[in-house]
Amino acid sequence: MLRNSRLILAHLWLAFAAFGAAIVLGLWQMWVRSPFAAPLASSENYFMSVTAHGSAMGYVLTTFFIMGFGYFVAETALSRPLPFPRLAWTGFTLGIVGALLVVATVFSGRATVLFTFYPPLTATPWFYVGLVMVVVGSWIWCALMLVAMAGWKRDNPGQAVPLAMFATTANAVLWLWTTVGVAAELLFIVIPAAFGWTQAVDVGLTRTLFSWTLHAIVYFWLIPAYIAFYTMAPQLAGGRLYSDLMARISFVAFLIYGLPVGLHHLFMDPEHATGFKSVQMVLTVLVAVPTLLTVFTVCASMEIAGRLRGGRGLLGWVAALPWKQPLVLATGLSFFMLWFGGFGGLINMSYGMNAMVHNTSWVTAHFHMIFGGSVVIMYFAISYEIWPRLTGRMAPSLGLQRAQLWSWAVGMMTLSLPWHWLGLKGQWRRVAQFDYTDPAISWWTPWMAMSLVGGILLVGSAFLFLWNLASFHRAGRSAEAVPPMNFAVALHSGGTPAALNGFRIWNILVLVLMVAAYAFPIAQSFIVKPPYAVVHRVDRTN
Amino acid sequence: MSTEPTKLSHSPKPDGFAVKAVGFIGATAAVAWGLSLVAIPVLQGQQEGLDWFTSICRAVGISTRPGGGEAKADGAVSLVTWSPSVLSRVAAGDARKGEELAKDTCTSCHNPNGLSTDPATMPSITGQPARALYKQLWDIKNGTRINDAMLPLVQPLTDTQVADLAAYYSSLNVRSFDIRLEPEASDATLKLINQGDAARALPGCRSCHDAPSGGPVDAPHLVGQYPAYVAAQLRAFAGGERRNDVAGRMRAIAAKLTPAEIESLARYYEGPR
Ligand code: HEC
Ligand code: HEC
Ligand SMILES: [Cu+2]
Repeated sequence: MLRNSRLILAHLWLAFAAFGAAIVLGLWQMWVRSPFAAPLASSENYFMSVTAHGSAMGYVLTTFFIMGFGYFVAETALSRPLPFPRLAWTGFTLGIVGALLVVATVFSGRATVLFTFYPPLTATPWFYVGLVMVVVGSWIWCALMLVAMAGWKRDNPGQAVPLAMFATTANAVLWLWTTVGVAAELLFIVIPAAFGWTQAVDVGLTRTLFSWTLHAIVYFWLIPAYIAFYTMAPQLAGGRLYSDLMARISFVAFLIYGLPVGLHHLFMDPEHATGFKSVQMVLTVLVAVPTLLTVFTVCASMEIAGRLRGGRGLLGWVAALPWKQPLVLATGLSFFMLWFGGFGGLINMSYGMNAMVHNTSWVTAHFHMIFGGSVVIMYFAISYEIWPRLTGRMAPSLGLQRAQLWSWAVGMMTLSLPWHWLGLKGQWRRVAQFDYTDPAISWWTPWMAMSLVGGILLVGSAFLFLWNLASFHRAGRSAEAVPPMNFAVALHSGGTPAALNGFRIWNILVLVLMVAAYAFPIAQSFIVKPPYAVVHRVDRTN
Repeated sequence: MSTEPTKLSHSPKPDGFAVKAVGFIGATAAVAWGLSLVAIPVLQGQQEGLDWFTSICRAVGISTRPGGGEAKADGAVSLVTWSPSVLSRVAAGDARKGEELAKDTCTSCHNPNGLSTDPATMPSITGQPARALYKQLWDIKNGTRINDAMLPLVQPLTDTQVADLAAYYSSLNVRSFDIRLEPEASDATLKLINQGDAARALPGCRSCHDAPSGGPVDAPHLVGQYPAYVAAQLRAFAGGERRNDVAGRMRAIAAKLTPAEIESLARYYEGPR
């Protein structure tokens, strides 16, 4: 068992507790929007629920899962104790207090601003203070990952940091860069407005700062899934990682191209002219590169495994893979959803085509498929893989784990495909209730019903997931010893360039690209002096 | 041991890989910036007869045309603009000073509590949003809203005093009922208030009036207003005698209401009885 099992379990259980509550809200939201009468349906309740659902899924589930998994990787991949475990607990405490503040303010109806805030809407300041505490807690995690990696390098000169840890630290570095935008927005604009110190805000500037965070945060969420693709799936399939170099290039590419691209969320916004939107669109095309590299490398690694297991012919190796292994199965399901999600993403990032889908349900459906589908299914599989190491107990049933993964994938497809379609047909997002007696939209009914069925499947799957995790804790200590955690070994190793064993030059590149991509769009607010929007306080009646 | 350590390559400095990577990233960046800020804008500009400098400025978002100049004052609907500094001054209004000021100048008609001394001709201003009060006082002061009774009283007031008075009357609330209660009214009236009438392009009154709506900052609350005043204002908007509503919002709406609708809306807004 691990030295820091309790620390890691605390993070992961908090993440999944938030997830369990938020998914019930999600189902209720689908129900309110559907043609079927839902209990407690009102616009106020709907937006309150969306705020809670988004904050819990996007901030609490992700951040705490990533922190917990990071501590796990630091201890297992580096085979040495985590530095400063006390500080890690401090980060956790900050995070949990912040998360509780968020919950309290949202459910008292004083923070119905949705999880991406939408200034000039302003909530009670304590909502934002809670979020800042979660972020500050995660900064402690970032620092610990950097210290852990530096310590290992000091003691192992001339050796490459194990890939899982290199990728985790890349994520910590990415997260530090990512949070600069939202932190600036909250600390300099939104929180002063929420306290009533300012009465009007430059909405264009707040959106620009948020866009800085908005794309990269998705990669922060996604990198654990990629770590599992590269370092866990090939190992469990009985193969080898095809190329360690390719993996490192992918993670570095996420760091570099994940950040100077956020303006693609503002294509339809008026505060920027076409030039910088186009710059960031071209850079967005390049973030497809690490994903394509990953698909290639992971497929090649799996092919090695399949052939080692006796698979022959063009595709025989696919059938030979051990699909009974939950993480191998999850990788397959995740890749499947990644095709759809990635395709949708290419549409969203195309300046012209974005106009067709902007602010429609397509966008909501897209991020559910790619994040809720491809990424979160890997969070489940990772948990199944690491829980035995945390509890010292083997899974009572792999069958139930597989059933859970299947039902999640099927549920997510059933939920999001009709949703995409309705978005293409013009269904608005962020609307609580529709008038289905209006003949213009009454044909939505069967599609909404299908989505709702998907939502029910997802809730069932989520509860099965929590059940599966809980059964580890209930199971007696198993007779067979839990095997130690092994990450995949690379087929082609050796010759890691020194530049891919640290982040100095990549940080300099990020800085240069961010200045070139964002300095003018931000400075413009001070040059052009745009009109300000009057703050709209949702936490008061006046 | 989890992973077999991988040996680092001992490439001579500068690291060959790093040089290649920086070269690649630099080249992609050059393409991104060159295409987006120079090549495409200049080509598009040529088709519209723009010179290259104007085209690039346009792509970046800098206007090369001479500025639009100041807004003209005469014929203006209202001279109040909601700039951050004006909003801060309104927010900084001092209700205690406002109370002192009101004692000598306003209470004879509006009472110390903001309810009118003559509901047939004068509005209730109790608990109105400070921004609505501030705007009306300034409009009366500037003559963009005509009110001969109040003009001599508000003309000498400074901006700070106007903000103080607005703060004072907005801090009161002497309504005898809960403004969230729905007064009784016919379905047609309720529809006009909650949804409007799409056939006449009438938005619902509630989308702008009454907290906590997301309407214009200067929209007054209507619930609890005297029916005679509401009806008189709607007729004044419809007939163009009152024209201080920015963008003609209320004039456009009131002109489409029938006299019967004006009566029933006015009765609704008197509040639950
Ligand atoms: C002589 C009586 C009188 C005095 C004194 C008076 N008002 Fe008025 N006030 C009126 C009348 C009458 C109206 C409505 C005019 C109309 O129908 O357009 C009015 C309207 C207003 C309005 C607009 C309300 C609305 O809902 O649009 C405000 C605000 C206001 N008064 C504030 C004040 C303040 C503050 C003072 C003291 C500086 C003051 N009044 C003094 C008679 C008076
Ligand atoms: C688009 C927003 C909007 C809608 C919809 C709207 N109003 Fe208004 N209304 C305003 C604003 C803004 C003012 C203040 C005008 C000014 O600045 O003088 C106003 C003023 C008024 C006034 C004068 C109040 C006073 O205290 O002087 C009345 C009465 C009124 N509206 C009634 C209505 C009714 C009845 C409806 C529905 C049929 C309606 N309004 C719909 C924005 C709106
Ligand atoms: Cu994005």
